[in-house]
Amino acid sequence: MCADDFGHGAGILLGVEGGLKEWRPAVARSRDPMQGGADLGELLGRLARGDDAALSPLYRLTSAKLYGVVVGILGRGGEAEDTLQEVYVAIWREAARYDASRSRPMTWMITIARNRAIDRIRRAGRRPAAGPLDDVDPPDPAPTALDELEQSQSAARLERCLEELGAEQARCIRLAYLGGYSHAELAERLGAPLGTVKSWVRRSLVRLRECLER
Amino acid sequence: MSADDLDKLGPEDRDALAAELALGVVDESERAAAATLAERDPAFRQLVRDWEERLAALSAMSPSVEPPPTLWPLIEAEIGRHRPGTAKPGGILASLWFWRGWAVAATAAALALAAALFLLPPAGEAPGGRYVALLAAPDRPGGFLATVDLAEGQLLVTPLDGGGEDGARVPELWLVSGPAPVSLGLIGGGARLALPSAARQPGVTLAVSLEPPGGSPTGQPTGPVIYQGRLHEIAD
Repeated sequence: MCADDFGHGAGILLGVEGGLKEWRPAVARSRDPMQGGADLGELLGRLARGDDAALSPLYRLTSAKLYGVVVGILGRGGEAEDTLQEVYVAIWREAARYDASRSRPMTWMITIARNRAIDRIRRAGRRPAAGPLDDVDPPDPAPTALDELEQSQSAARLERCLEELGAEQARCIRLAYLGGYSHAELAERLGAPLGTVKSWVRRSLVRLRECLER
Repeated sequence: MSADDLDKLGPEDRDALAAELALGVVDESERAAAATLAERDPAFRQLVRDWEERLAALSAMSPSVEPPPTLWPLIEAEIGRHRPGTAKPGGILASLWFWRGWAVAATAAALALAAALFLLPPAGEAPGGRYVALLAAPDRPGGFLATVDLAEGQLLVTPLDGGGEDGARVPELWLVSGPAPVSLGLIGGGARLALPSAARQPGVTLAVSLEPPGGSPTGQPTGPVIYQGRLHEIAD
């Protein structure tokens, strides 16, 4: 055997994905899930009626967004993958409980994803993954993938309202929402007393609401 | 703080708690209590939902991240297992740790395979070479080496390092290339098994699960998948 054989063997072994193809439906790359809320609502409705085939297009439309949400809290890797798997099983199982008159489809799904990820990080009793959170400052004002008008408008309004809170308070809200930080973790990360952080967060939420309702 | 304590909160504190719950900032015990309250109190639940809507725009700041392509088949298999009254083919794929570990295993597996090939007895000779699979996993010692005897249409399975002994359960080999895994037989201690002609080609995936003595009672894998590998061609 020569070195070439060795390399060849490794390459083939690494190509294990091919073995999965038989089961993989044609899942195209995700597109912006914030578009087509009606589509998502329709897919959730089909799931609620027991039409399991609706899960595949729902996954195609939303998995990149939901995985991004989960990765923000848990970091990339096995835990995030396990969590995303749980999230879609929960969406499939709970679709009948989705109430379109009370929340939008994407909000409902993002909430499931965040709750699962936060449950996991709280149970694990450790600090949330630092990686994606090192940069939680305001996003680049350049156009994002989030093109839908209404969504970008509400994001812009929220961003404006966060700015009004002041830098440190806005940072708390972002760390909590995007990174799954608890009060205690925020206090540690920001080097501030727990009571102070709790009242910052509470006051920030009240002011955020006032600003959003203006 | 219990859900009963939370019941006694004034309207402002209730709304603040709903906001904190939606933000996800409360600690584990308070979170559990607030979730219980939301479960039994529709008005509080609606406060939480309203806050979830208000804050949802923050998720615009989460970048989209493509999940690995291996995840969807796992979800599909998982749903097949939860669906009442059905056992969907592909349940074998539901062991996420296994697939995830594979990429890590590949380098070690390639090394082990290279070593094993020096020890191999001459396998089935055929024009163009012979087919070999190393069945191994990153987080479990042992494994099996599978070589195709093309002349006899058989698969020769040899245990490596004990072949993954697991007390009461026995290793069973599966052909994983059609709509559902097909049992090739029990391989504890090594075996010579019939291999369907369609499976005598590179790229075919084999997997080993642990089953009750005598093999899977259902004809589909019932225990954990402990090893997996693909047949590939080794030029002489």
